[in-house]
Amino acid sequence: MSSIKFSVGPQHSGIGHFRMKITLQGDTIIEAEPDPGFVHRGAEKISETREYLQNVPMIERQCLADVSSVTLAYAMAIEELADVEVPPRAQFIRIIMCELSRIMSHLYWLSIMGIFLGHSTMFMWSFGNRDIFIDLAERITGSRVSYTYIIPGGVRYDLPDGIKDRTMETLDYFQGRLKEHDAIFLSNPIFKRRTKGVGVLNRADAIRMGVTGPTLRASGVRGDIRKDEPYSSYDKLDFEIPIFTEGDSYARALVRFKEMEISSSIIRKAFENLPEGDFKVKVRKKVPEGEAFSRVEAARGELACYIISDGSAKPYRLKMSTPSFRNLPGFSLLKDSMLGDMPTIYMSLDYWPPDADR
Amino acid sequence: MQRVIGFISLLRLFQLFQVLIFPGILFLLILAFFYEWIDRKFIAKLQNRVGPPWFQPFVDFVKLCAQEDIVPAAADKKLFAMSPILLLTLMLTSLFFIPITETAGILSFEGDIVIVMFILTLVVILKYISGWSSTDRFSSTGAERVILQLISYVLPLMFVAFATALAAGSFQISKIVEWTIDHSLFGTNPDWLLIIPMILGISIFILTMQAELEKIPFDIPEAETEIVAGWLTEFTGRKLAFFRLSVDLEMVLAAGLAAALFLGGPVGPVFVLVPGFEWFFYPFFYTIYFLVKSIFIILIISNLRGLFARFKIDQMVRGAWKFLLPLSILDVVIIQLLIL
Repeated sequence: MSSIKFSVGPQHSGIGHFRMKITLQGDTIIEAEPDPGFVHRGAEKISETREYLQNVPMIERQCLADVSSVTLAYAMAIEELADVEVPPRAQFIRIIMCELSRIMSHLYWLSIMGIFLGHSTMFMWSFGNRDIFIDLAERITGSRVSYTYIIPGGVRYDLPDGIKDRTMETLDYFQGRLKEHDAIFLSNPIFKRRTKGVGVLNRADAIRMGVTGPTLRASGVRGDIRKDEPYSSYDKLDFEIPIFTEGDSYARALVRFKEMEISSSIIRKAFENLPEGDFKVKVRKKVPEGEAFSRVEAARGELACYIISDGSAKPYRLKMSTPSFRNLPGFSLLKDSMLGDMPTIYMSLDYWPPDADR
Repeated sequence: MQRVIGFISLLRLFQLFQVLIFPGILFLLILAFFYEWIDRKFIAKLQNRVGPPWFQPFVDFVKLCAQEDIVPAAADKKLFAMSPILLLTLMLTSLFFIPITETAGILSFEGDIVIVMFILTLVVILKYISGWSSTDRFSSTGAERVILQLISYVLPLMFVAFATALAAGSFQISKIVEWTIDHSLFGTNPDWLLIIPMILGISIFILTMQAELEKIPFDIPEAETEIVAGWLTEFTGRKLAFFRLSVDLEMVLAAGLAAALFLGGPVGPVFVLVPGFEWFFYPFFYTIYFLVKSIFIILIISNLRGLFARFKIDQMVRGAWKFLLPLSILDVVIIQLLIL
């Protein structure tokens, strides 16, 4: 039987700024070769020409769905270089922002998953829900999406008055909506049929490929930096991480869905235990010579940042290891699957092309 | 003699009015745009959106007509240009059989339901031809899926459509409508038990029609995240506008046919305000009943569209042969047993 080859992306409605060269035989994909790099902007090289603080708005653009985690990793590396202890209040505010980011990122994922499976209501409702969190973030930081809020030494502003009540209202509403979403989307028979048993990544392969985040946890590996190597006072809060052992697209969807609930409860706990005090400390413009490594659990998985400083105001070298790039080997799951499963597998890995290309 | 010629030409004029204006081409086109608007507005309300204004489908049509018409270099030019026009013509022709102002359509003769079913199949084959003639990878894949979908839903569709026809003892839509009215709860021979096969029949009919219309659980041939727009991928401008219009017309056909076969067509209680003028009131009330019933069907189709995700092609084929076909045969059996 003859095969046809076609390019999925970068101008394909089923994919972002990314290309997959797909060889199709009948309705089966016999070869899928991911081709990243369409949105490579050389962020690491640009960062060497800018001062530490100036880099924050630039690097947060690599993953606009999950801004806080990216800037947190960067800020933590600089704090390690400058040997600065971040005040407890700032650490808790950072947790709140990171978990808000995680919810927003997962809602974004849920909506795009909906449109990939042809469920337009899922797309609209999830995007609508994401908007209330964007409003909340705007109230806290002053910006809606890219808010440059977490900076080396703490956060830019203290929390505004009355934000606790507003957040609780938002979370009450959202957790009610999540129950509806569970009934309509995740328990939807067609959604289950389309995702269960599709793109199964077993535990051994998940570890071998080095995938991270929800993709890893859906394959039964307990890997979460928030627990393994607690940063920013995550060890002071009590929370669970959802683990599923099936390793299919449905398990990955469930992990993200459960994480939204858990993130909501983390935000509640962080607000209850919010300490008083300073919200930032001064970090000098020039950091001492040395090197620093930090890693955080972003919405898509482990995000690591490595900085070498030569004692000047600009980084000598900045290296980011991003979760989307680490999940790239997961595209080998496409091999031997049906063409109809291609959007499901692509989306279940929650690949964010600018995050991988930087 | 003069009088006879005058009468004949008046009759001709009336027929011309019927075919061209009401309930013919103009009315059907307006109805097609109107139903697309209802579909889009309703689903927008389900999704907490505002939705388009009432003239949006028409504006879209005009805009597409004005856009550049690109023909791929490798395409079979004649087939490529012919298929949208042929599809539109076929859709309009089949709509003439749908009863709107009376129990019979503009065209009505023994065996017309067979012709409507034939056209419904022919339309799908035309879609295949149009996808194939554009010689695009996505179009060809979409075209193959169109045929795969056709072979899975066409039998259940025929079975449920002919179940009522067999019961009525006639393959004429107007006779089927009259039989349904006669056996409905308000008719002369009310039959309560007939509700069961009718509900089963209309459910299967709407599902198969959703596959025919390529609406969301079954929009596999134009699954945009897999194969861009399927068989429609290479069509632009006027041709795309014609395709979209014919899909809208097909929606009117689906709703009208469902109303005619299962809901008693355009018939409902008629309130004659001025005795002696029944001929005036009948078309008026019948049209309103037709609109109400067909909009009801459209809303069901929209609702299903908002509720479900897309099936995969293998799931669709398996589901249709495993569930829809036995259920449709069961529908025939139940109706036959009931009218014994």
